[in-house]
Amino acid sequence: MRRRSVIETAVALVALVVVWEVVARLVGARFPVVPPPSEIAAATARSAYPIWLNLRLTLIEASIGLVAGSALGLLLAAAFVVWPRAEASLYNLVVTIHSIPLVAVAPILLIWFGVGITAPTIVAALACFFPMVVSATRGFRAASQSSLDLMRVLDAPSAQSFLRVRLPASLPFLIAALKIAAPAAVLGATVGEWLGTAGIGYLLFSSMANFQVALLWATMLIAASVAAIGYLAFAGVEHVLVDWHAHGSEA
Amino acid sequence: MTLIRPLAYVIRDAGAIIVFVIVWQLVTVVFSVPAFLVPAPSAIAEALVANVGRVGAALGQTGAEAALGFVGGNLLGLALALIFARSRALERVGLPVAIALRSVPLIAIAPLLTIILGFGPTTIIVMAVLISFFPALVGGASGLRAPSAEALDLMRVLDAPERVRYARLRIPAALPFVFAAFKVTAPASVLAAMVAEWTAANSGLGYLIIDAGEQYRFPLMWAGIVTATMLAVAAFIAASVVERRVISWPVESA
Repeated sequence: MRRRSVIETAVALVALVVVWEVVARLVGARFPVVPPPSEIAAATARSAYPIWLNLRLTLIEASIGLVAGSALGLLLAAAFVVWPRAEASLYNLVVTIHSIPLVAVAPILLIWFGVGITAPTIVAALACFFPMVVSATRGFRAASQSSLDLMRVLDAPSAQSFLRVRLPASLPFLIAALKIAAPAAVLGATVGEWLGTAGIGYLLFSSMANFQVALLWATMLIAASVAAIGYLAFAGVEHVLVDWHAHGSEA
Repeated sequence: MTLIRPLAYVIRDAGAIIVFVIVWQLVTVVFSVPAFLVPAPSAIAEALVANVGRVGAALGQTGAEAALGFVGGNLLGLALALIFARSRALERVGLPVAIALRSVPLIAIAPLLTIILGFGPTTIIVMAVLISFFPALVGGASGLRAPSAEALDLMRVLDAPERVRYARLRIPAALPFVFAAFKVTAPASVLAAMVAEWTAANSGLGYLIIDAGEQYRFPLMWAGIVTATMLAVAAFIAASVVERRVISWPVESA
């Protein structure tokens, strides 16, 4: 069933590329902004090294941002569950910070930290932070009340009941959050680089400004693929985990 | 009676914001924080008043673009979700693609859209359409499939016509999913419009923020940021309020 849908999707993708190539070659002169896939591939090959240098930078920023943003989100969610009063007073602040558009934050960070790796990394971390707080808070609450009661009856220290009951119960929620956060980190880093001088975001912006259409398409497709890989990686983990969960628990 | 609790929340939240602004003002004044780091709220307010025409015009433009994109993207997404609900084959091919695209950083394609559609409002609105489209499609398609097999069987046993099955069962079941998508995409449309304004406009809030920053007019830049944030928050609140009005039955949140 799953394998079949993978094959179907692959066939649909190949068909799309073939149709795109043919159509773009037929009407190419009138629509220079949509080059055929072969031209995009050629541009990728031609600029492989600069693309790789920029991509590497974005990957570093997105990874650090993903780890830092998710870790902070996880810590805050844990604090919310351990001290419910903290949630009452901080949750609205978190929501407010989240509603500041990332695009508006990027220029401020650029002024604060200057051009470099810091600003995009922070934007990436911010992009991951919120989904993690929301999901992890929900996940820690998802632990079954009877298990928590059992821990209380056994007089387990609260740290242990957190590690043994709440954390395992929250795993599916954490993976779901990472599935959102991984592509969001790539997006955050890209937006953060937009006004900078290096990275995929910079490459997108500069190839647009210089009307290097094939390079722009190549960069965009690479950025999208990286984000999709981030998503699919955690979707794969989720798949394995849900299987384990389904076999492992009888409740 | 029912009004008192929300009112208390509003007062508490407003109080928190006022305290926050006062602390911000005190810190910037006492430590004489330079304006390029964080301007004092009073300086931001001053810049806002001095440039009220420009900020207001930018707000109107970005708000209109985001709203058009939000409405267009949702209409398209929900229409396609209805088609998916009718055709399993289409859904099997289309839904995984839609789910994948929903989480792809669509904002990264703003430069590409600018080259394809040109400099101007079309690009900006299409950007907001794209941001709203995929969550609406995924939410709508999963929501229309949400009714339990028993409920669907009951409709079949009662020989309910297709129209009634949708009106009474599938569409009400889809509403919580659709509103969950609205609450994400309403503020996201503002974000999308602002990003597209970087590449495809020389007006609007997104452009105003960058432009003011480049001219070292930091209070004006922050006035733009505060305005943009309030627009995004207002979009989220509007979606939540409509949700509470429309969905009057208890819903198990997923």
